[in-house]
Amino acid sequence: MNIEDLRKAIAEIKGEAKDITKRLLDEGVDPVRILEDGIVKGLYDLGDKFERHEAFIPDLVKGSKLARECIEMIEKVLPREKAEAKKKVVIGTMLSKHNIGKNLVSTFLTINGFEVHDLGENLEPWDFYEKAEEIGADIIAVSVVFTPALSKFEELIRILKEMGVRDKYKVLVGGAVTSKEWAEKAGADGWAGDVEGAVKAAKELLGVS
Amino acid sequence: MAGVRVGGQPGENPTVLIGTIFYEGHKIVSDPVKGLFDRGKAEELVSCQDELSDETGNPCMLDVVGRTAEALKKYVEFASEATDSPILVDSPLAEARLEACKHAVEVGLGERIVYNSINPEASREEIEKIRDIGLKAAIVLAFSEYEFEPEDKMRILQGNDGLIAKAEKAGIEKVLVDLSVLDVASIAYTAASIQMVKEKLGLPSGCSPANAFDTWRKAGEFKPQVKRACLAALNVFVRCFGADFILYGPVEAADTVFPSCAAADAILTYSLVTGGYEVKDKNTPLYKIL
Repeated sequence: MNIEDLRKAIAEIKGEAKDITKRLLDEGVDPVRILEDGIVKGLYDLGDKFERHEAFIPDLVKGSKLARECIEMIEKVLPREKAEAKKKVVIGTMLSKHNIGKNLVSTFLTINGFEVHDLGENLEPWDFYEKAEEIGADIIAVSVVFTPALSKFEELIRILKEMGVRDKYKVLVGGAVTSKEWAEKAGADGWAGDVEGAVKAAKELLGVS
Repeated sequence: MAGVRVGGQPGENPTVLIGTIFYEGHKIVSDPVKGLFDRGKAEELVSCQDELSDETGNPCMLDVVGRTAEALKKYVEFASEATDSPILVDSPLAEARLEACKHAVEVGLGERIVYNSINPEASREEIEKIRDIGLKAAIVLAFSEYEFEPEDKMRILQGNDGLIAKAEKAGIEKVLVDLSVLDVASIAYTAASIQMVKEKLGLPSGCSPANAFDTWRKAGEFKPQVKRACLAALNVFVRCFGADFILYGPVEAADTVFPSCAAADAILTYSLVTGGYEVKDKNTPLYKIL
């Protein structure tokens, strides 16, 4: 059993993905590699199948549930980057309940040394504002995967401006229905099209390596 | 339910077909906040459904959707005048549903109202308000984006925190279980769930196959008549797998949906007849559309 087997099991939504994850962890394989090359790539493969009309919405949902179960096993042993003072990120999905991408970004930000406050899904603009103020966030990261949530993101930017706190936060956005051009126009500080891009953007926005 | 028989073994009672009016983006609505609409066109649509119901023998209900309480109250009043069918009071906002239902009960329409819907996110406050209003009929929507297998649906419905318990706490005596649809493929799960709910809970069950069009990527390439044929096929499919009621989508589709479902119902009833079943009520598709 190797990481390629895990990638395949995730892409084919096979329950044995959990056994493979456990075995790889027991064998001492780098958990970050298991996550990146096994689970994330497996989810991308599943996404590609959906694009090719070879997988359907229930498959995506089942795949994300399976990936989540594997990630929970990995999170327990993930190395955490040490930071003098952790940068704080408030993250959540605007309006929709979809959380696959958001959960992955949340996990990757955590293992990259950020203190992540995951608000969950089905959120309104004020939820982000309130939590960011409460914890003194550095970044507000918003997942937008549902067209009506585009205007909700713009509303969030408007709220931050109206409350006089826009400059306190770096606002990062991503998700299936977004684009770099839209994000710039909407007033975001950064945009990411995938998990790795989100971590990179978060680091760049705060000037951390 | 409100004078309409729903449920039973396939073929015993014809499918109850429920068309939706004043839905988001409905062209007959000029102001969805205030509830302004073209009354003449709305009457035509409702009459068309009622006439098709008479012609086929498939009972109907009208699902009335409103964005605000103000709008929904007006729509429900209109519906009560335009048809004798049961009225589903539907809104994405619980507050609007509750206020419109309260108003409907106050003006004497309580017996005709079906609350649409009690869903897993219904708060204690919403349940208490339904009870206080005195509603007796509701759709329970067994929907969860992440739980769509039949066993998941049973879990959503059963138990102390389940939807059936919530409906009981709300004083609901007549329940219709909506098993929800994610996409076309997911109807495989929906159909299996309908069968399981009927078999294990004995409750009338159905779904809204029209919702599959929201995520049917290739449907955009279909011509309008092909789309309608597909809608008919989806509805007939779930009927053959036991759906007692179907929320068939925009009421404009009545002319496609009623004859196609009636044909399926006629076959189901005839299969009972060939086994010795005696049809007591001849107002059924087998004796009306063939």
